[in-house]
Amino acid sequence: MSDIGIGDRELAARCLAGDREAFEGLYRQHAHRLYNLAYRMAGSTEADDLLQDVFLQAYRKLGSYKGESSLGTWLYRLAMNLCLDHLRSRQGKMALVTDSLDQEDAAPVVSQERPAEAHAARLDLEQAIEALPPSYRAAFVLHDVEGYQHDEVAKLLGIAEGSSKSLLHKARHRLRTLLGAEGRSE
Amino acid sequence: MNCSECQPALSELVDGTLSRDARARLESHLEECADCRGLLADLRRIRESARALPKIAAPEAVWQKVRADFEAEAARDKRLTFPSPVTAAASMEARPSRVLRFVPTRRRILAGLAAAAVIVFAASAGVYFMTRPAPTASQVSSNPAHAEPAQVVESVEAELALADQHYEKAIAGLEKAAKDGQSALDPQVAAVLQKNIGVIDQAIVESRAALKSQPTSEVARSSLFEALQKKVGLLRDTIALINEMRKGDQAGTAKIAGSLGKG
Repeated sequence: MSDIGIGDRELAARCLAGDREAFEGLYRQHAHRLYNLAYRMAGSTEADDLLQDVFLQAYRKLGSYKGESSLGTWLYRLAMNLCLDHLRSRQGKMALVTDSLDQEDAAPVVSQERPAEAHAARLDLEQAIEALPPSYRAAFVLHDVEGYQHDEVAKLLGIAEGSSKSLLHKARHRLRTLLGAEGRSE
Repeated sequence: MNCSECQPALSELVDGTLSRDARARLESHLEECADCRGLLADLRRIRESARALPKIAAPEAVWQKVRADFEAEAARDKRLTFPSPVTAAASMEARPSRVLRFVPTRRRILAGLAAAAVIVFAASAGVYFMTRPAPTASQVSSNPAHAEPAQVVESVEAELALADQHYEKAIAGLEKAAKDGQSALDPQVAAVLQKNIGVIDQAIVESRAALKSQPTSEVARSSLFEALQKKVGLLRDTIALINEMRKGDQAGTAKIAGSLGKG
């Protein structure tokens, strides 16, 4: 996922020069993946605004892009940082959830009579993901939803690989609680 | 191995990243512990469900907003896209009859120069007026004659209104001259110029709105006059381009087309 595109630096330069076609090309190439990240990280109601902000910030910061990684990776990292900033800001305002590693008593988002349909299960999971603290959510979305490996998750989040594993483990446990799955297996 | 030792390793078992020895120890415990088997099954189910979440397409409306942001930012950075000098010159070569048709008469040149001189003077007056340092709120308030906050706001607003009038006057004159000579321009070049003027106009409208809500904001004021200056510059370049195209001077046309929008 980190192949550096041949024309990435050229594309960045064209965008910086105000070339609208180039900027649209950049958007069309990466918007889908970034939108899914924003959607999973911030929820459906805020994904649009976040994606807009990602590209605005990207334009403003393209001058700092030196081609060390692919433009896609650079954008993804930028998007993840914006998502985390957004979540932390929202968390600070609402004070509904904490990022404490000890909190394991979250209220389930589903009843014990959870519907069996796949659609309902998906909605339950999406709702549960939204209830995760930001760092848990980031590790879970990147690893389990987007399919990144731990070394890649660690780089994207600026943490150690071991921390990525630990966050993922805690995220899955929290989701199990939120989904009300405890005591119903087997 | 007990349950508390086993559980942190379950996620790694799900992901297949455990070493062979650790896996053997874990599987030995799992054979005896129904609770940990249940937890393992749940973790696997959660991982599979996450992988199966559908991909969502970004709504097209987001691109419209992103594009508007980009155009506003690019306009502010003086990075508007114009046809390259080569394109502009090539489009002239493709239409030699058009260039010849607009070879100006001596009378027209003189009239044009006179009009341009008036316009440039008006524009320069506006630019001079706006580029001289405007009094800041602190400077104004240090003068006993302007000590009252209400008077400060009134004074700044009056000065802004006057400066704005100068710009508007200059822009109106330049717009008329540009409109009169627009038929001399290649349609593609004219369309790009028109589009960029539209972007600047939008910036002017937004800056005016910002200034209206915050009359003493330095940022809002700078933003408005930057946009006004940009429009004056673009219109002036447009007129120069028209004149070069009328003269049939390809080198001059290419030079101006290349510098357009670089402000």
